[in-house]
Amino acid sequence: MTRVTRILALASAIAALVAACAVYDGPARISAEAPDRAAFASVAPLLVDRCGSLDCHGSIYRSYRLYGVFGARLDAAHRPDSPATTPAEIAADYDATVSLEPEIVARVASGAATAGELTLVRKATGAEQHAGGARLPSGSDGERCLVAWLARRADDDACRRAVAAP
Amino acid sequence: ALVFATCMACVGCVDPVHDGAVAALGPEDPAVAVGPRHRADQPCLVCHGGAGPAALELSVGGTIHLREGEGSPADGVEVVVRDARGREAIARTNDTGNFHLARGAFDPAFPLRVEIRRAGRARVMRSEIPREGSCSACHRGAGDTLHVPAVYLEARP
Repeated sequence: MTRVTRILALASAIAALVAACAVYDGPARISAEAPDRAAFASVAPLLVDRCGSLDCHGSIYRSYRLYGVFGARLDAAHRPDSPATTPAEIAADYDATVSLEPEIVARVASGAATAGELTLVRKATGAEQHAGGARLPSGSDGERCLVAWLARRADDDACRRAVAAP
Repeated sequence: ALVFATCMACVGCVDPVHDGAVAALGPEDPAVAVGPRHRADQPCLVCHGGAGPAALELSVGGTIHLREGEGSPADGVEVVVRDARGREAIARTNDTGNFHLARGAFDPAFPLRVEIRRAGRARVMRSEIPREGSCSACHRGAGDTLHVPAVYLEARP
């Protein structure tokens, strides 16, 4: 056995021992606290408009997938340009949004973390590299709408202004 | 080690998703020469997007039809593309309705805004284009659950 092989074997044994010492915290549970589902009805039009186009998150090939008008549709009888976003699509968009990073979403909703800890917010505001760019720029009504809802302080006025903005 | 490294390098060059997308386009129409007139209504950037197999890299490309719901191509349509930095490029469709902008001449910053116009008639795309350079990635045929109808110059009478 060469010296290098002995070192690798020793390192593997140490790694295995360390892993074996990890404690399984069986009773631990994720907080069920989440942003308000009903209030998401004000946020959905913004996300669908800014993020849900057919070539972005309105594509069925995306892990974060939004359904709604001008994007992918849930109902096979619907087309991207008609009808308007349906309640079923808003519900699906809610599930997609809160399921991205559920542990952090729960902490943001309970006030234990800031929205900026969410990849969704960092990408949407341009704080993190995002192929689609800053769709809800920092300081915009769009950012206010999303962040306020995540923190369970829904700001419907900001959402309305953001959707109406060009 | 050399054989392993070579194998890994070879595997790293394979993109089955891209290869599948290229294969899904099917063979060339033998009646149409490979060039600006070929593969109307297909997503240009699958092959011309930089990952091959086409050598010419495009930033934007597509096919414009004359009337809504009809297959007839619209020749001589100006396609005006404005990027996020305010730069503008204009392409013109040929007799198959095809147009393209080579990336070497216009490398836009997304999102894009697009307008098409011919002989005093113009249509402006309602939404921005966040990232896709191929019209037919989103505009296809009569439209379906995942596509809006093909791009047309004149609405149905």
